[in-house]
Amino acid sequence: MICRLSCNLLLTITALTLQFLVITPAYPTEISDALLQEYLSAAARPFTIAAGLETWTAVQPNGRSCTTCHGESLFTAGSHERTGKLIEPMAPSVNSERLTSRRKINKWFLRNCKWTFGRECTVQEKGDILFWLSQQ
Amino acid sequence: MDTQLSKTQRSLGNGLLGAVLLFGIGGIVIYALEGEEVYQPDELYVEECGACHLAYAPGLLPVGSWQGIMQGLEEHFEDNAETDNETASYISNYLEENALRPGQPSKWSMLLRNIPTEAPLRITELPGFIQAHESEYELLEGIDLGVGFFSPCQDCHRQADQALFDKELISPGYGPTFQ
Repeated sequence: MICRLSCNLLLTITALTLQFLVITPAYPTEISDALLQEYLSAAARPFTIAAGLETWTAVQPNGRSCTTCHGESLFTAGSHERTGKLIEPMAPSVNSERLTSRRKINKWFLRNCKWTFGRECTVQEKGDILFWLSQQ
Repeated sequence: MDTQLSKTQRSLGNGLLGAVLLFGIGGIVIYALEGEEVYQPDELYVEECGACHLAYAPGLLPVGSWQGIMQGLEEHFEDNAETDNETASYISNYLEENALRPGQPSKWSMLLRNIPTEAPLRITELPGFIQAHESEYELLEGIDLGVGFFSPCQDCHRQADQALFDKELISPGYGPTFQ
């Protein structure tokens, strides 16, 4: 009886640990963690992976979305819509330079949100995207 | 007689060696002096502007054009290219200092030909540019090229990022792609 309980407990712990390792690999950086903390204090609800994906792929009335230039996959390169210039993959798991510069994150959020959405992104949108990206 | 001949040979040999050395060293000196002119674009400029397109050498446009471009970064040829004030003023200074200028020796001074008082913002709209690409325009006559067709210099001028546009460097087989 005791064994069954403790064995079950051990199994559960192992399963949970494995699930964490296998299903949710994360690639946050010090910068992305710090930014997410800052965004969170001004956001209406916690950031989620699903909301990040949705914001990233939502096609705007102007026909644009983040994928217009970044491509369908975060793990391969995209290309600038007008100039065709290569854009390195966004996923930090394949491109370790991503999410390492606060200046770059701020710069591209500002420029690209204005181009894609026709306005600056909200703290909620930026947080969802950043959180989702940091898991890729 | 033998020693006499070898003396002449030796002095001839010495003379030749001297000439070769002088020629060689002279070449190195000239190369070193010319080395200063090798185009080395500013790192921040390439990082900021080269993220989306070829970081066009500043000497391809006159000061007025660069000023116009830098004042309208929020609407940069239908894209948003705004950047913080500090970066913008640094890049403005770099561009203006190295811009195309009348009376200043440049291998691109032909781009100044027939330039209107208010210079266009696009390099491809400079009369000198159009003149330089006359044969390409002729070849493509009748085809709707659309705006920006000639913008990616590097499609034909493979070393455009090093500001090398010499005809001799155009690689056969490369060229703009038709859509």
